[in-house]
Amino acid sequence: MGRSMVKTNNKIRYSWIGFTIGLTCAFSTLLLLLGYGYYWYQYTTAIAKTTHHIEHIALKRSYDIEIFFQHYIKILHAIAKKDVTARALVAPDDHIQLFSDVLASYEDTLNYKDIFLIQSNGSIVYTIKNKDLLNQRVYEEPLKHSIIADSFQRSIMSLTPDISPFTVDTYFNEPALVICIPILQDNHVVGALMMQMDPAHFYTVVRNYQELGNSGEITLGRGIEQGTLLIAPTRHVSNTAFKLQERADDRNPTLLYRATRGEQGSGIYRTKERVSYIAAWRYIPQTGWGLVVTISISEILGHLSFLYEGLLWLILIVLCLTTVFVIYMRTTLLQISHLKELFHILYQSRTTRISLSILWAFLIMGLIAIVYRYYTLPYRTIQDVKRDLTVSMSKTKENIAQYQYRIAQVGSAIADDLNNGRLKKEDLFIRMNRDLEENPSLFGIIIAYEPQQFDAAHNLYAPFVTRTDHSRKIYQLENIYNYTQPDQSGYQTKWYRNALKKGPVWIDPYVDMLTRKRLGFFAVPFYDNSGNQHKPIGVVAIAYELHDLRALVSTLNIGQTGYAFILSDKGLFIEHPLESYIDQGKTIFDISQQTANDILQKMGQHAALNRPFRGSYFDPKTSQKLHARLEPITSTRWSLGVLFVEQEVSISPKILFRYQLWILLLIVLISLVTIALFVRIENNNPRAYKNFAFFMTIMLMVAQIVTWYRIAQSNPDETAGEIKIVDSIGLDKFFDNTTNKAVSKNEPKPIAIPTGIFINAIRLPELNRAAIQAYVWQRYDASIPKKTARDIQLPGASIDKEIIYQSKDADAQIIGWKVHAMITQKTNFTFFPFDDIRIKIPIASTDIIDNVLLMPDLSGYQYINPKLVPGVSPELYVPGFNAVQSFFAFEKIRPQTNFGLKEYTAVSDRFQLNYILILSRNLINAFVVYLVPLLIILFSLFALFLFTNQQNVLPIVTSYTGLLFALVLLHQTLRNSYPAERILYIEYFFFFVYISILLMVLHSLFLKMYSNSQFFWYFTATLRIFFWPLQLLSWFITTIIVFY
Amino acid sequence: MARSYYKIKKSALIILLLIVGIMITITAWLFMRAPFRSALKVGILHSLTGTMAISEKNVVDATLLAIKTINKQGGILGKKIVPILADGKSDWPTFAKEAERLITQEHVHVIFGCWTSASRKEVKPIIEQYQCLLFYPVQYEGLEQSPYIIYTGAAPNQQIIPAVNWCFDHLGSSFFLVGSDYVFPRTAHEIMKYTIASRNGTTVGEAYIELGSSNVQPIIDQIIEKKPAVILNTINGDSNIHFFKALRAAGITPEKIPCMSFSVAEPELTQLHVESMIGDYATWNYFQSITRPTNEQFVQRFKTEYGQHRVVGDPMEAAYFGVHLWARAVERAQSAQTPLVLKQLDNLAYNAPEAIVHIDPETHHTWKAIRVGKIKSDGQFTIVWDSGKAVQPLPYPIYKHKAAWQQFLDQLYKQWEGQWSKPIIK
Repeated sequence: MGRSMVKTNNKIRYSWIGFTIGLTCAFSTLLLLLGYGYYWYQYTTAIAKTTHHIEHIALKRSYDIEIFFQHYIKILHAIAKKDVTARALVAPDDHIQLFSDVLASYEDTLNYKDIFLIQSNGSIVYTIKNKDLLNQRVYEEPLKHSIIADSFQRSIMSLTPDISPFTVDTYFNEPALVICIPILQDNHVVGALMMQMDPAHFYTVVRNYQELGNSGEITLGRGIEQGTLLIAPTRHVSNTAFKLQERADDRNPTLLYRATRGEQGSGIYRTKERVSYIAAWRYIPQTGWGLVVTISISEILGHLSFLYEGLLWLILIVLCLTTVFVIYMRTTLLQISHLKELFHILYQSRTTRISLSILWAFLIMGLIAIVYRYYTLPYRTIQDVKRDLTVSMSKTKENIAQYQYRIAQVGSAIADDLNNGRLKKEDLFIRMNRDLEENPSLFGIIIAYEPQQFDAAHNLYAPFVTRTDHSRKIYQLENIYNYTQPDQSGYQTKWYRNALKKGPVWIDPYVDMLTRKRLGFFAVPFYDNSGNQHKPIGVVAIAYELHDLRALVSTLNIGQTGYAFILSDKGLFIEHPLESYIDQGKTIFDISQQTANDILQKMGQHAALNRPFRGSYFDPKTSQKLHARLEPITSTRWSLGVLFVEQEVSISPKILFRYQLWILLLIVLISLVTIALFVRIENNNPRAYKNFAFFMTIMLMVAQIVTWYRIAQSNPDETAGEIKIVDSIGLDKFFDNTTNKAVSKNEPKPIAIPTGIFINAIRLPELNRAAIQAYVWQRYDASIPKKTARDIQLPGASIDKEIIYQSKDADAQIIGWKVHAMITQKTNFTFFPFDDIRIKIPIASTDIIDNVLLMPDLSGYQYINPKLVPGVSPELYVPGFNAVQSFFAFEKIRPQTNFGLKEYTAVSDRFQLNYILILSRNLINAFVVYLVPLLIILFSLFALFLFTNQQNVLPIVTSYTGLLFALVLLHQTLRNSYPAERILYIEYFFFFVYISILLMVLHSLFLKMYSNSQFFWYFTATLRIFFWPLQLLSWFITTIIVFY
Repeated sequence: MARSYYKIKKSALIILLLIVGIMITITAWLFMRAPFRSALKVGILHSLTGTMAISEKNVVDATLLAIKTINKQGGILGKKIVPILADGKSDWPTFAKEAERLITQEHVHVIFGCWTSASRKEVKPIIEQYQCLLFYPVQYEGLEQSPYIIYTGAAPNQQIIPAVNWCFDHLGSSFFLVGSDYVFPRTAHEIMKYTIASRNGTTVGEAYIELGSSNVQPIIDQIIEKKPAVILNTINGDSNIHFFKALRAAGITPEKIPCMSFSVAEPELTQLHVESMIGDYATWNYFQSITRPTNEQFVQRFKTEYGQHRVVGDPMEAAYFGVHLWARAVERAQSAQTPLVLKQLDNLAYNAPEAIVHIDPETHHTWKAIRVGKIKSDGQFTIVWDSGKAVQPLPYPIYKHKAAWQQFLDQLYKQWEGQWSKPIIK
């Protein structure tokens, strides 16, 4: 350009204009690329997020529909189970009125269009609205082809609850759906209870468009022969139900068609009108329907439309500017000789250059994909867990609600029957026993009367029937305490007083003084309806234990230490994996204060307001990020909470490490291809090859060093069969589990003794033996029996110990020992010099008869994050090693002997406390001792190879033998120092040098034999040039394979 | 000469680099998509020899067809499914040994297998111990649930109970029960007796023969003596050949006393004298004669693979869609690890040849349609009753509590000296 610019003034002027246009053109292109990149990023992110969101809504709606039907089936089951229902079927004339009364009490909860009672022969004996059907048989006209006959037959034949297809019925002449429950009396089929649903109620479940913006749509349909039929109104067209059919088949499936055929999925689709949507479709198993949720892409990408239009304009501008630039600068462009040269270098041989360029592009794309994946994977994994958690929590909430509903149902039914006089006073015990038998989740039932309301002989009367292991136990509460008055604790009689005052009420669990069990209560008053006054004359209370709730929330345990709990609106733990919290009546505010944790405080505040909460926080003591969730359970004003450590659910470090290796490998390959593209290789110019080999060598050296660095940084592998303790929650959980197991096996409960260790010095006289000097202490609180020995031992170690301090505080006695011990270690040198030494210090009580469980005294350490190496003196020096991690872990011990003590076998699960210290090898020493001599041998080999010619073959071969001798000696030293069953990592390098020596010797022989061969001459030259790249490449690939 | 030599070397080097680069990129891409790199091994555990081979070999064929179909479509997660066949030899302890071998030595991700309940009950503890999945494709007596077994065959309320009820409505009210002497027929008969009693019918007789035995004459004599309206047949394996032969020889034809069978499907009929069985019945969830497009495709595929003379029956179809359900769950879980697959199997649906089926999350049984069929001269069935839609599976029939059913099973087990079939006296 410079040369053209000085030719004439005219040309200079034209060139400057062209140059300006060119610059603008380049700038616009850059802007376009950046804009497009941003747009693409936003587009893909928004689409991905919305797709997840739509999938979630589809899942939630399908759950809603299923739960809606389950709810009705459960109520119908409850009615079907009542004696009066079976009696009404067997002898309608005598009992139908009673059945009608029972049904009336469910009117508010059932929302039916009609209810039918059908005898086993198909004869209808009860209907509320279709009186013309009374005494008609379902198998005959006009019902023969109706859903009533269809559902009744299916239900009676299989003795299974049935939901009929939702269809325009031949009898009702409108869309109808029935639920049918078979009824047995003394194992004889007596008929069925059938409910015709009101579709309006069901439509309200489907037509919930929250979180779906303006264009969101929910379509519900069922499969028909020609395709699908919509069975619910849509958001934008309200009269589509049973009118709109979609024609489709397996070859041309619509989304609804796929959903109705059992498929599930999500993605972008385009309508015939060329409108793009994001959609998620699901099959609803119980009903056999398909559900499709959609949202318009234009609504999601609305904020990007301006950018999109701007980019289109920019493309136009770039095209125009480029055209003008080419026209203005065509003469000048052709005169720029060095541009042509560059082009020539790049594409010296068109085919090969293009091939290399394609390869380069492939590798770049692969690298971008892996890097993107590497950076997003941990985040996405956690996001996926959080999204699943939302669904699981709502399912668990529903399960809890159903559980509570069942309890409330029993209480309300008894209260109803007492209100209406259907439950006579003399039948109270029969009824309570029967309800307890039919409802295994109930612990007991109380029917408590107001003073003088039971009869004149009793001032108070309150039978309390409870479940025992094999039978029932009856308490008369009036003989034990006055339930109408507040007691000292303030909560023993709350169920009675609150129910009288407020109507149906849930009482938070407390330890009942009679049964000594932690019980929750649902209480509901019953009334005297005999006169005009409607006044309460007593309370029915249903007592339940908490283990059912525990089973329900235990499904939400996430990761190793994550857990779920239930809070009352006062922050009290109703359910928590640590039973001690429940037993001691702890609140979330107490725990928040103890742990100085703000997020728990916030959870408690939200629980008090019965509001949801989501948040994450960093625990400085454990250096872990925790995620907290709270969802309100509205019926009882309880809240369901979940806490888990994000790290535990994230992707494993090993997988991330593999990604890093892949990234490194791709970078090396890209660099090599780039060098191949830019270094000019000419056939008669060996310098080009040398340059290429030089760049390759440098690149592989860098890659090898980076790989080693990354390996040295990676975390040591966990050991199987060990329970690692890194926080107090994990510790408490472990202790509770161990205690519960012991109790369930009728074994003595473990005696917990908090124990700590502080290591002052470590010496490694041999690599499989460690000499330690440490302080060990134990805290003995008042709960530890006096007969339990107050002493320690280190099993498997020779030990010398002395008590150096004893102290007493308000809660406990503390004893500290100074310990010198020699411990034998298991060693694994396979990855030498990148191996770690794992020093396991087992600590046990000298009392082996009692079930003593040493627990880490975590309160004795400022930090318990393993990476901060708790329990080790900062001054610790172990020659050749660095302390990188320490932590406590439990290990199950199986001695297979009772040590001559019969009592020893009374405890089946014994755990030993181990303190683990991980030492990582100081690489410099290993490299100096083994790698430097190896490299010197390799250099000597290379030098000999360079000087080999036809005349000096014999002395050269002799020198090779000398190198081999040196190598064998070095190898021998390595093997003696680090005995291992498998090949050590560093040994592979030795093998490569062995192979190289062998090849060099063979080469010398061939050189003597084929001295005139031109091929052999070229081969030798190439081998000399690529000696180092080949060596390093084999090292690099070996490293990747070994550590992958 | 030298010039051309280098030209070749350079091109070769570049091509080599290109190939290596593409391979690495593809591998990296696959690595990103799939967490595992080897092919997916699955176990197929059925009796390929012994008395049950007559039925179970067909199920193996259907399972292999499903695997082949999936592999043709690209496999799962880009990996081919590799079936490992194991022979249970119609011997229940062998089933357990082979299941353990498949899991511990072959490292299979899932086992598709078992026919008799006795074999399933032997395999169940192994499956649970190693937390491996088993897809069980045969209709059975119920009274069982396992977190690691997916039951794709019928539960009692999807075959036994409707069959008895249908017989009661259409054939008569006095029943004679005949079956092989192991856990399925014994339990099925218990359920049948309850069902008969629930409709005020009568059970006039009950008889058992050893599995594989041909000594059926005493049973025939009893049937002649009791004169029932219907025979309910739960005989399994090739004893059916002897039973029906003896029945006809005694002059008992379907017109006189119809027989409702529970383990005789189309493939078993090919081994029997069909002409003499025209008019007898069977209750299944699937018949080859179902007119659904998915069934027509399935039958066509099976015949193309194994020959036009071959027929398909209910357990074969259940085995076929079981493989597809597992494959779908693996695809969704993006892994073949049992806990992840199990999570995806809950409520998972599949458009099977019989109907749209799905797995019940609470019981791990399958929602299935029910059909009663009448045997035709061509060895196929005319469907005389169809539930029209899938019915919820209830593994524990409502006549007794779960604990009471368990007690019944425990008694049987105790009575048979710790086995699930009557000990054979040699």
